[in-house]
Amino acid sequence: MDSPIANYLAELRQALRHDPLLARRVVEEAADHLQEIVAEERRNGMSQHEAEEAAVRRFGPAGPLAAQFGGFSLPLKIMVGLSSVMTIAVALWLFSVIALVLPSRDPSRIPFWSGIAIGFLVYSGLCLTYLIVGPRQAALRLVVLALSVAAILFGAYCVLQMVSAASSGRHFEGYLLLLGLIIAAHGIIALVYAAVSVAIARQIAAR
Amino acid sequence: MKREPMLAGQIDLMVLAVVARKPSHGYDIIKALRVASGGHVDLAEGTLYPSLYRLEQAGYLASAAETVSGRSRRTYRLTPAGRAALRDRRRAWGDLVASVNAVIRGAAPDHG
Repeated sequence: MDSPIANYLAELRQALRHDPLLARRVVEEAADHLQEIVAEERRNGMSQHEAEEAAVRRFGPAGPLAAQFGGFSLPLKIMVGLSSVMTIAVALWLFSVIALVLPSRDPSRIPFWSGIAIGFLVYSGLCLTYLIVGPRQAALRLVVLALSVAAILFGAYCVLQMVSAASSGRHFEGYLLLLGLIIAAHGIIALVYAAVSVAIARQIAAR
Repeated sequence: MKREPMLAGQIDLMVLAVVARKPSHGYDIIKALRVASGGHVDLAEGTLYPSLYRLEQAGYLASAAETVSGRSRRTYRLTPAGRAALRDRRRAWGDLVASVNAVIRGAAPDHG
């Protein structure tokens, strides 16, 4: 015979699938609460199945309950969102430099920096999409993970170049250091978010 | 007359008041609400959790998870900000009740 509580928790988990961290927390709390009701109803003489049905009824429907959490966001999600916006700002700034400065100073670098700016925009767009759809799309998850590693490596390369330039007396470009720090930080935050959300989604699915 | 819609707007205040007495987990909070209200506050029990989550996000509650009988249980306690919020909300609720009472007690009888 199906367990009404197990079915209810599966429904609740499904309704909160967009946010695995929140889903884990809510499902754990609901499971504890429902078992407390079952114990109470068993003491009142109900069978296990009747008590579970009563517990689910008393707790209320899963869909409307999950909807009440819809507006909440987690700090890590906020950090991913903010870092994506920062990277978009960097990309727009790069486009302005490409359009206004490089043509007169160093036209040969226009293709390289155009590619970087477009890459930043695409990466930020994918991170924001991932925030919305969650870890359900395996292909998107892989792309975000791979691009996050690339962003960290690129950012670290920029920072190391500028540290090396500063220590050896070569030409130091502060904007390159800032750009490297922003994209590396974005990559780390997005990587952590993607890894944590995937791990928890797997943990929840395995229960 | 259905009380639930009238109560729904006051859940946060009632939860803060219950947790102020002692740190509690969800099931205990619901029981305390029911007992303290003489059974009049009898909501769908799950509706408590968005309120708890919201109050924690606002910094009024802090929570810690522990394992009890093999299950994860989260216990909530009031923070100093929560204590201040409870004081303010109690005062606002008292003012509201006094205002409504003044109106309905002073209203002319309905002669149909």
